[in-house]
Amino acid sequence: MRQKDEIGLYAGPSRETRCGAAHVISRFAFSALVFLSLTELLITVSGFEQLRMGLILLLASGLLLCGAFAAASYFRRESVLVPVLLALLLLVCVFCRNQMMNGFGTAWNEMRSLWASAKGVLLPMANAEGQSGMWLVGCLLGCLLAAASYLLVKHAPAVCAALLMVLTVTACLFRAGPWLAIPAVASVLLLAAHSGQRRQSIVSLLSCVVFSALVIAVLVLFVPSSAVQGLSDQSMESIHHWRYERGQEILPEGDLSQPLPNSDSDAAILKVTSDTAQTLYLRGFVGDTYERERWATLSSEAAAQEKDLFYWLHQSGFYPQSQLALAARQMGGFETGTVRVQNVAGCSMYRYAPCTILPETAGTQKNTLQPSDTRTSGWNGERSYSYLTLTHIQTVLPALLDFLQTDQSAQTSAYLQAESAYRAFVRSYALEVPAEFRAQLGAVLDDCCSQYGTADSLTKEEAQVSALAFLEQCFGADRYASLPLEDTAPGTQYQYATVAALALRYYGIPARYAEGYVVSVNENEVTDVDAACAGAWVEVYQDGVGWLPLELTPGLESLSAEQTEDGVKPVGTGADGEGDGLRVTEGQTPQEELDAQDDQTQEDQPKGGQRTGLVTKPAFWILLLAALLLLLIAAMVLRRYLILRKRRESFTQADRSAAVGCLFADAAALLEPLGLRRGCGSMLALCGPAGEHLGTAYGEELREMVMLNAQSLFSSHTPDEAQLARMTRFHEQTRKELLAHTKFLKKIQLQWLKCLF
Amino acid sequence: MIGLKLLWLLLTAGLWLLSLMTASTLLLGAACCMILLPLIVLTFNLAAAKRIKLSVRLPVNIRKGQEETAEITVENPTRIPLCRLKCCVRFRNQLNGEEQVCRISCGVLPKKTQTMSLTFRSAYCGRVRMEVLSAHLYDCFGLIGVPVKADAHGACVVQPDMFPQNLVILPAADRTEEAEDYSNERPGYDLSETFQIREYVPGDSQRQIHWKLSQKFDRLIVRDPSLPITRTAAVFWERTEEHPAVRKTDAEAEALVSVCRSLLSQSVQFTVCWNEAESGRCMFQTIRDMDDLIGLLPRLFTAKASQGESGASLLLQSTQAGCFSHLICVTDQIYPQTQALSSLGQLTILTCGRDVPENGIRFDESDYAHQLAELVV
Repeated sequence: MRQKDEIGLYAGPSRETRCGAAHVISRFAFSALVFLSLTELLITVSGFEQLRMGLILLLASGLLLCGAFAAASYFRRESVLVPVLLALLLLVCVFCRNQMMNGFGTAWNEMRSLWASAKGVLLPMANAEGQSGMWLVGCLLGCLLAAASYLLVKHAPAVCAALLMVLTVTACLFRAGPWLAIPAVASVLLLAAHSGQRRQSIVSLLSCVVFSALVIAVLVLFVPSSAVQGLSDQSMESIHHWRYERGQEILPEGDLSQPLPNSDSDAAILKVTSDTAQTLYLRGFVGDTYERERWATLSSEAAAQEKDLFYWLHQSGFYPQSQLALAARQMGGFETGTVRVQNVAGCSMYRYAPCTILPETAGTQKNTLQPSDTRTSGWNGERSYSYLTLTHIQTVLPALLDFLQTDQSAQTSAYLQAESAYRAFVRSYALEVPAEFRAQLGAVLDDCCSQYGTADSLTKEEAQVSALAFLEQCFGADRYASLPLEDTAPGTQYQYATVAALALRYYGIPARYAEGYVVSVNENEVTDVDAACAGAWVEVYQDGVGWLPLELTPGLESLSAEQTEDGVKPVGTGADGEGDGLRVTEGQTPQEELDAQDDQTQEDQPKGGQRTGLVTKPAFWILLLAALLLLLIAAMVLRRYLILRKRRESFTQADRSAAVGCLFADAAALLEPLGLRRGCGSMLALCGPAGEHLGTAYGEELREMVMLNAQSLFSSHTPDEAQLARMTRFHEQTRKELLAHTKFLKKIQLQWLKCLF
Repeated sequence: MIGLKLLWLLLTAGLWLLSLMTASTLLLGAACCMILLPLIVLTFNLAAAKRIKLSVRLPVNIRKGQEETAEITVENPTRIPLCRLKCCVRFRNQLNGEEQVCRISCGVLPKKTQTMSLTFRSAYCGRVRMEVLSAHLYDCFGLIGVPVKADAHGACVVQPDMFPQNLVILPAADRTEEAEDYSNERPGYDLSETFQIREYVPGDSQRQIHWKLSQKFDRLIVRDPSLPITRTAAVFWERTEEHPAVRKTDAEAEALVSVCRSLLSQSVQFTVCWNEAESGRCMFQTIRDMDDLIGLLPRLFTAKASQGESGASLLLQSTQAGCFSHLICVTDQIYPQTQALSSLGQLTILTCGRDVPENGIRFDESDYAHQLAELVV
């Protein structure tokens, strides 16, 4: 083996000793493109676009520095720039420290707003006054990004392309926007231009740009944007299903614009175990806003407007999901029980928990903005969890409400202060009624409250009575026909809950729509929750204790304590209805009648068009096919690479006899596709046909190689280097003959499937 | 290449994901292009592949360690732009067997010619052959390759660094040297033939004074003896080596060429012999002047080391006994037949091996210029 230090021959692509103008321009163009891409990514995750002056200075300084780098490369003075920049940075840190800190504080606060609205992340606020240091921050960030762009483009364009794509996808997960096309396209252009040779970059880049422009123009002209949007929506839905669902969807998750999921299966969706017998309203999805037959969780942008409030509430230990338990904790003297939930087939994105959950086990996080429901973490959510709840809340709640009204302690005052602030926030959105609902049922609603006055001047009790009267009129014996969701969810709990929530809002009671499972559990028994327990109900905001389910939905009240003469009680007001919860004093629908109505409702439900799993979603199949195709290509490439590498190693092994044998065996394998199959006979028999097919010289060479192979196999004499080289040449010649005498498709098959060469 | 393909996979998957997440037609188009573009360019490449022409250009001679540029010219006579032509190029020093394989790529516009440059250098002398092993046309992303006929090759000679040498040729005592010619360039030692008549300068031997002419011209005139030119000297390079080492080969080549130049500087015409591995024979080349020597080098430097029968044995089989007056043998190791070469002429063995025979001079690869500066044969 030759020593490494003895190698005296060097060969490699020519290093460009002088940078021409074209080279400088292309270097500048690419570094500027990458700089703009990085800037866009920065804007996406930091909200820097709100700071106009900073953004302008960032762009200007970055582009200038890209130009400076390009010019420095022309004059071969690149190495000077980095120390100069570092020195400038040091000077800035020394002399403009306060301004710089103030600028970064302002930028941080913008990012804080963005993170709260985009992802519901609550960050601490930085001390900053005005935007006095933004010019400095803009310049510094611009220089930093420009330097990074230039160095990446110069030293590692392929890494830069990969990095840009990964960052773009990550940024898109954070906040999707059309401007993210810049880094994505930049990464493609970098890949197309990735080469050590300048001219290749230009030709490749031009071809890529011209053809891409044609394809995009065709798509823009002939594919409507609605189709792309539809594809995107279906894809997102498919991804949601893939991540969180197991089989058929059970709950509509607020989307009532399509036929409801219809499952007759009695298979367990949840398995619930409790150490106390109780009825649990396991709340999953929560609808805060209603629009176009869809309930949606309060948008993160809307919630983020009150990020400071939530930051303060969370710091104070106040979480809306466990408000009832927090209130009970002020009073003390309550009992707790453990509930264990095994999510078998439900959507695992939500954590199914009742309103009585204790804050420590509610799954809420201090730095996360979750104004309504509780989302699980992890790629596939959570399937198994347990929590602590208040038990015997029926007996506790009346006393609790009295306690909150009478207690004057500092702790209770602090709680009530937080509750008051949260209540104001709730009233800001939980009283909104869509215009189409007002237009459709406004007259009926006004008619129901006409005896008390106008809808916006009712007392709480009057509002309750009016709402109940309205619901009786809508869903009574002579059922009012013109209701929302008549096409998709007529007579169902979902329609009932929707109409009830909107009616309560109309009369001034904060209400919202909730979905989940209602289940009665026995002590220490595993209870299977099936599709029959799935449904929706209304939740109203009870001052002091938060959101409580309201038994207005047909079929649900049978699971809790019976009605009282005083009216409909919130959950937990006890069998005798002594609590101070909401009361609806008139016109309960008889249970038998509701049961009959429920049966009728089930018959009326549309049989076709139910939302099933992924199989009916074309986007899923497109994604699946694309993913499989990409996976297949990757596997083929990897397989061929590994096979060829192993083969090369066998050809160059130290044992020359073995190497000669491997080369000959591979040459014989190469001859087979040419119709020269050895079978069980001798290779010598192929010399004649090979001579006829590939020329006499080849036939003779084959004969000699057969002999050489026999020598390598059976002789104790090791073939020398010359013989090995000869066999290598023969192998190469056979490969060339195969390439020359094979059609293209066959060649592809041999190359990629059989990996012969 | 595998990295490039993985990068393409990453970008394609990323673009599809982005297009679905943002519902952007632009990104959807870009994602489609990532799949469509390689397929369309493949059809173009298939059409263009058979008409692409490659050629190679190299300098004729270079010095040791000197970096030079080799060029591969690609001619694209078609109307199709070639996004990416990748060539696998092998540089091989045919003397010592060193090899370097490198890959280079370029794009060529329609109806244009493009030149790719490679730099190479060799620390050891020899003949460097450059050969395009394979060439493939690829799409913009370097995914699917279409082979192009690659038969371009070229070579250049890495000249040895010759060192100054004082070579003294002693007349062979046991051989009759019938000098037929005398040198016109320099005086020698044969007083029977006059090289030139000139005026006396202090230091001239009294035996050189031409008394008759001195008397006639009334001043001292001397005559220089002539140098007889012999055609029977030979330099033999043993190219059979069990364990070839590039530094030893380089030292042997430089020693051999330096000896040849020293012989030429003394107007000695001689024969260079060496054994070739490929033909298994002994090769001969008569050297009369410097041009012959320069012309010999490309051929001599393709003589890679062989194993098996020694060159000395082949030389003995090819020549008759006593056919050379002097025989200088440059070898790495002493074979049994090496000593037998003395039957061909007065033998001087220059060896860089461990065994030094009685009539041998040893040199090593690090200090051979100093060790062979004075050579008496």
